[in-house]
Amino acid sequence: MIRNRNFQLLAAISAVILFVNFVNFTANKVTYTESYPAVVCPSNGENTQSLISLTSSKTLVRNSGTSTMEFKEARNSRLAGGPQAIIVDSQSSTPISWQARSGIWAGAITCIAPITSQWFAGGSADITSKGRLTLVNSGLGRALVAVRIYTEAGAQTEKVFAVKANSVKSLLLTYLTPGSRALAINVLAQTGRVNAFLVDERGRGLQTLGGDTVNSFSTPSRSLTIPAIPHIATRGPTQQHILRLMVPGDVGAELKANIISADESFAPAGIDGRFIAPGKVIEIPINVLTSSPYFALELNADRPIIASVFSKTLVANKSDFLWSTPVPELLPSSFSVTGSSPLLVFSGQEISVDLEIAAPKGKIFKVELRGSGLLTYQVGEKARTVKVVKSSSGIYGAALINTKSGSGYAPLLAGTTLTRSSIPQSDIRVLIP
Amino acid sequence: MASNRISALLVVHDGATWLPEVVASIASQTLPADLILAIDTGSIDSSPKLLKGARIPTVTLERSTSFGDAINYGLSQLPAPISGVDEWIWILHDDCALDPRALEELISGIAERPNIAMVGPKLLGWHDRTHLLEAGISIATNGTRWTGLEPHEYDQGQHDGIHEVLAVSTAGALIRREVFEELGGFDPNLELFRDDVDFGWRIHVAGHSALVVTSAIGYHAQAAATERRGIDIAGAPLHRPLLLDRRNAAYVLLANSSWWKLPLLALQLLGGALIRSIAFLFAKLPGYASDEILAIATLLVHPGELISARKVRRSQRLVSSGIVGRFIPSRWDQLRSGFSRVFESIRERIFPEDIDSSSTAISELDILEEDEEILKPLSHNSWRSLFLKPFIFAFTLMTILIFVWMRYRFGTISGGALAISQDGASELWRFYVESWHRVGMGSGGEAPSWIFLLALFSTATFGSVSLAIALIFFVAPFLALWSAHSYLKGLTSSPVLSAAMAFLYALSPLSIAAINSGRLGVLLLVILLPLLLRIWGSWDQIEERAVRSIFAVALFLWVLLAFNPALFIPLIIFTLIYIVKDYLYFAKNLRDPLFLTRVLRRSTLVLIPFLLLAPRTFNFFINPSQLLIEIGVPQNGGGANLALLANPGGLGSLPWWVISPISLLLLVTYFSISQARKYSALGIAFLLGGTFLASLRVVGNGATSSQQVFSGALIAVATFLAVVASTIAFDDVRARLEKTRLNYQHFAVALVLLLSLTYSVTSTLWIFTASANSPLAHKSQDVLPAYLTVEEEAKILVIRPLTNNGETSLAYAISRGEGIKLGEADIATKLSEALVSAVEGMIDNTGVTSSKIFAAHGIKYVFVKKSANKELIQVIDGLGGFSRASSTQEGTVWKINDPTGRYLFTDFSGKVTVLDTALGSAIAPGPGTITLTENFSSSWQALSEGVQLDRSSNEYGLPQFKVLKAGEINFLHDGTGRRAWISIFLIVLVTSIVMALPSGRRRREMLDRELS
Repeated sequence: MIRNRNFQLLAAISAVILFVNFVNFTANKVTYTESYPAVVCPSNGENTQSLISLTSSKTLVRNSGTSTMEFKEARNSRLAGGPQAIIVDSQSSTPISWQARSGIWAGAITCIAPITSQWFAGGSADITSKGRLTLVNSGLGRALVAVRIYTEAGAQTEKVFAVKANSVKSLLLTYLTPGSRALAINVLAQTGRVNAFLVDERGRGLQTLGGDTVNSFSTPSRSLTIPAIPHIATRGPTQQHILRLMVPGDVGAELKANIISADESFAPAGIDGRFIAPGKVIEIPINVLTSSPYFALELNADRPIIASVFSKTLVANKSDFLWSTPVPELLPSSFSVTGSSPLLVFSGQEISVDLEIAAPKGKIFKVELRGSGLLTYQVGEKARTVKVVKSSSGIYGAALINTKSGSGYAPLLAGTTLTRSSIPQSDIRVLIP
Repeated sequence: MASNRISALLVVHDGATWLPEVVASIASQTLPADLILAIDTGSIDSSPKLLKGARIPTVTLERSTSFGDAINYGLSQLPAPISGVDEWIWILHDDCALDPRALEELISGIAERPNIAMVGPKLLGWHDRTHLLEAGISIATNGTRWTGLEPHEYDQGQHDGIHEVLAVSTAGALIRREVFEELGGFDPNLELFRDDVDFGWRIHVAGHSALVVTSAIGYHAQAAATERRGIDIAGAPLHRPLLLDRRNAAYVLLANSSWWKLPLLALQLLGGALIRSIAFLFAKLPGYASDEILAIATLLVHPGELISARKVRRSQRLVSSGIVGRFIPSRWDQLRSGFSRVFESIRERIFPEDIDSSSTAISELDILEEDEEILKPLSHNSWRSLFLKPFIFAFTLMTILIFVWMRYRFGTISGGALAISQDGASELWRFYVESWHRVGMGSGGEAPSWIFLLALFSTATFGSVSLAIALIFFVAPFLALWSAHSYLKGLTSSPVLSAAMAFLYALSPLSIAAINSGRLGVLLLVILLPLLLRIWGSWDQIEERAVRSIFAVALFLWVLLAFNPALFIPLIIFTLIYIVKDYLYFAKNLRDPLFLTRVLRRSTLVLIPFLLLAPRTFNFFINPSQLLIEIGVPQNGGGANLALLANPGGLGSLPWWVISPISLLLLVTYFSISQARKYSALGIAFLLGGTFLASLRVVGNGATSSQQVFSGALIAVATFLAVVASTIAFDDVRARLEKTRLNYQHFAVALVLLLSLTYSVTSTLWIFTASANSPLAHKSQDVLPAYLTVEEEAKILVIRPLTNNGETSLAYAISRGEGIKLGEADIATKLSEALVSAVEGMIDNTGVTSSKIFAAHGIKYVFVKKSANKELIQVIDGLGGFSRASSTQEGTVWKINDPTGRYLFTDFSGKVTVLDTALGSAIAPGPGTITLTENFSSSWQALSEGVQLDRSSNEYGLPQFKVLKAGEINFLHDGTGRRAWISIFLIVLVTSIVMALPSGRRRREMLDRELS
């Protein structure tokens, strides 16, 4: 009897456990949708042209400033920009836009999806300035954008601009803060899908002093790496590079710097150990005596800082300048480089990067880069995409592009990341405090 | 000083039962009456013979002669008054025996008091002669005969003395003959009852006074009032004592009071009669109930009587009738007395007194013993020993635990499954009776019964719902401990075991989860379950139970099922099993009377709760999964594997590693040879049932996704059965184990002890730390930014991330300017597909028309809580049709660009305008269509100049009305259906309560000693 009872109990419990776990296995889970938000590439500036490198001619694009929100095929893998910004549904691949004022200056921009905060450490609003800050609202609702300007004199009053739905607003830097020589700009999207682009163009009278596009970064950090600063080897000390710095907080920061070139690594005199006062943009010359055509700069501070390096360049015997900006750590990502043939520069202690270079007709070349300090790779002219398949930690990368018009710097950062969002559920629990 | 002449008038009417003692008492007076005359009103018993035997002069009148007429006749038979002699008439009843010194004391009381026209003795009970019946009387403003005494007040001289009173009873009353004749004697309209009070009132107004002399004592049987004899008086309506008493009470008040008091008095009399008649109905005394109403009615149909009575009084009045105000009890006194009677009645029900012992006289020996006890040294029980009592110790421990546990729950609480409390009980009542609820896109669902019960409780807590809720959650562990202990202590001789098991029950994983996650239903089940089992009684031989008990259990079940619909499942299963069992037991004879009785009673237990919970219970047939949805805001359960450990899981529950001994107790006691096995077998069945349910998923109210079922109700039953089985199995276990050799029982008990200790430590630590951060807490009740709550008509789409089974996803709901309140989640409806698509489109960036659809549904704002991801903010910003209204720490708000509101008017050109509204009406600017942005219901009506407009449903399923011309349009939701259900509910509820309540007894059914 007892044995029978044991058996009954065991059977009942076992049956229930088996059944309920089976039912659990088949239970519904939260469902998700995954997508890459579209990225925004800048419009043409005054007298400038732009070319956007796309993965293929079938990449979907649309222009701002039109009533239609419909994306259409680009029909060209290197799309010419216009007076309006171009919104690119580039999926996982980040387009790189090339801007040039023919024969005078050029610059590169990594197109990114709208974000709420962008920092620029670059540009000038002095008498030579012809620079512009362009605000792009790619959404259908009106955008409110706050622009905070920091100069060598300190923080300026915040200005808020309304940008109409699906439109572009261009602001002269001299209008924003007339007379200021060194600028750092924080663009905050209070509402709307906003991208900001900064063009630093300078001239004195009719004389052109060069220009460049300044890439942005999303947030100040205590550790910054600028992986690719172009350098022209000279025999004596020249002031080719100027480090622009700013501590956005209320407390100053003590700086530590390290320069990594192909042949050496050292702490630059005058920068390392320097205390930076808060709220003011300062510029520090970087005197580098190295034969390497590129070097990287690592900055560490005890407070979040923003920085970038202004470098004089020489292209086709014509002087120009270039802004090298900090980049986040290199992650698996993909970049559209059609027609730009960039030079990829990677910096890090132990560099291990696996690349896949896609060429027309589906050809893919695998490249494995191994080394330390600084490593470069010249992408071929026919390459359409560069895909970072794998990279070790602590690697930072940027692309340098040279054309007859000038040099450009594009940070290797994914302009758009896979966004995973759950399909929303109607649920009354939302209304519980 | 003038001499007195006393003429005794003894009125007799079928008083043979009391007459011998009455006559003896008259004869033994230390101061005898000068004259005595008996007036027999047609007695048909041996009264005339007794009077004759006592040699008392007797006159006989018609049987229908009233008391007043009898006295008047007797008076007419007395010799004429003698000048210079104070003539007194001493009115005697045939059921009132006087103390030998009564008359002497009365006479001495009026000495030196020439203004006294009426004096009476203290009246004690006939049977219980310590029962103080009266020491002077008055009348309350609701007509009650007022003695100023407690019910069954024991006479120990506390009211002794000579007091001026409004009146005294006519039993033993001494009345100045001159005044009596001057005032015309007793009012002929007062055939019986209240003639004394009326006369007393009249003598005061005529400038005299009345006294009670308590040294004079009478023992009154109150034969007519207590229905010991019939009322044969002509003119007494229906010959019913209560009816006559109430009618006369009203008559006295209305005839004697100042005219300006009459309206209020009339209202009070009517209200009082209604209340009393309802009370009599509840006591199953419909005759008395009708007496109350008829008494007022019979008076009102003869207004002429009252008018002429007032004329007579006006002619006799010397001073204002307000002079008697000092004798009329204040409203507070009346209220206090009413409460006192109710409490006394309840006390008597709970602690019935032994009637025999109550009347036992205190002997001198007893007094001696009391005195001796004073000399004995008092034994001192120290506080320490008190706290070492197991239950007191457990209670103290619980108190400490509770204060730490509840430290974040002092004040208004909400969270988890507990929605926000309504502002007051009135709001809760309104919610219960309303036919349309502004929840989401609107709901015509019937408010659940638990709201009725909560509203009832909230009314008792001074109308504060939040106080009621806070109180329930705060005292719940104590009540669970107490209710479990009161059940368990009867199962074991060990107070330690019963206290420990009760403590384990009160702090079981289920109790902890129920409190932490705000599950009101399960919490009440935990408290009430032991009480239910106490009154459950025999289930097999159900016919042995009184019908009253069946209805009481059915009502109890209603309360439990209202809060825990899932319990319908085991209730129906067990009922069916027992009916089949009975069917087989009675050899499949469907006509066997006992079988039918059993079926009827078993069915009653299911049917009464079913009807009381209707119409929601009818939904269970259409959608049985509704049974698995708990009340309140639906929250996930913890899944089957946790449930198997008697832990319901979900929000606020113990983590898996805090393993309770409940399941082990069930297993161990299952193999017990004692009575425990039947409980553990049932407990295992409930546990496995709960485990099974916990593996299921169900779509909750107002949700689109399914949730894991919270099977707390079944686990609660399993938990209590485990505790019961263990108490039985472990009773005296130590002695039993000591007697036996080491065997598996030793190991089993050791394992249980070890697990119990581990659980005690880990669960207590968890309660002290992590549990305090559980969802249920005192926090701000605001879900939306304050400025969004201003527009009452605006709907707001609220979006925020929610965590489901460890996965976080975006969720949304439509708010009407505030969070979800109690009961609203139970009636929330699903959103339409169009609206769901619009929300999904807005979030995944494809909803170009989302804003237009929102506007068409009356949604004016979109609010995304701060915790949502930033990309969503940009998506909405960029979608078009939304204007950012604000971005604060709370979140981001967009206003829908298209015009929207509660009433949208579309003219023939298709132009949409929002109509201004006031109190459910709007002005239509011209012909067109008005869309009401609420869910469609066939009860929605729109009236223009009293004419109902054509109603249809638009593309989104919202009601729209065709307007033919400009003008005011009134909108209403016809609540006839809801009112009908409430009526049915009240009828069933009142009937069930009446059936469950103990029956009241007619006075004639009461024992003599209970009355006098």
